[in-house]
Amino acid sequence: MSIGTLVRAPGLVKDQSPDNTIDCISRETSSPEEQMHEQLLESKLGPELFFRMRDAYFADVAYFSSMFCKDMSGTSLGGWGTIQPEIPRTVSNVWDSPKFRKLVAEPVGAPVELTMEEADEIVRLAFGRRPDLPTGKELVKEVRELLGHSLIERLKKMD
Amino acid sequence: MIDLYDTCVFIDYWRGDAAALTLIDFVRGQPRSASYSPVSATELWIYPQLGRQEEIEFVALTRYFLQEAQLNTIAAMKAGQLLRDYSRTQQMRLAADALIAATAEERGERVRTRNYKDFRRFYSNVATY
Repeated sequence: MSIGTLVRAPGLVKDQSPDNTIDCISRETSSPEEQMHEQLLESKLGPELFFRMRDAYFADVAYFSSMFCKDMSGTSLGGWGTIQPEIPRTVSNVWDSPKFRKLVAEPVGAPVELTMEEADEIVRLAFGRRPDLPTGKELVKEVRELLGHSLIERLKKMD
Repeated sequence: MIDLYDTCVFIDYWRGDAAALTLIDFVRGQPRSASYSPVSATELWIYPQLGRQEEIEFVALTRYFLQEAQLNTIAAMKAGQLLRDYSRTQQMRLAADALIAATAEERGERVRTRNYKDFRRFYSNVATY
């Protein structure tokens, strides 16, 4: 089963220095766990973040590394190839559990029950998971105008 | 001194900001040693790019690691008074800042934010990160 297409891999992950992280992977399947992996590999990570991520998901990095190295053998770096998940992942996280797969599939606003240990892991894994968002300052500026407009309009109606 | 984390802390943590990581790691190590305003929850969920997974992550963080700095009547009145001197346009833009600043002042907490300038209009105990 193919889980994705290798688009570009200038440095692979044999050398796990920050300058040699994978640039981009497109995927045919998607789950929170895979999105996390995708972001791990897509991100332009600084040294501090890189080592933190590597520590947190070391086995996952090794898994991808193994896949890429196997797949890319005999091809030039930066070429194209199909990734085959032949080596099982050795470490799972809270998002792998049936409970959280079910929970994340529920609509926004559905009840969320979790233990402190689960919460701690979820918070830890959330770091850097949405590099696509605008900065906090930009986003807050945008939503504060919306919220302020709504509040002031409400007050005007009360005049 | 307890910090009240502004909305931008949550966003910057999701984005992978190292300074936001320091703030969140602090409360993971010392649960309930900082707070957040429910106004932040409203601001976050106005934003349509945040979905179910972010909701679970926000619940995980706020249920176990942050205090809820509830908006009470005294703080709400204070926020209204703080906004009196501003134009209608500025009132719209600054309403949430005033509510959060007044909440922090009422609780004797310091606001941690990247919107330092806007908060300083209303409250002196503000720090960036």
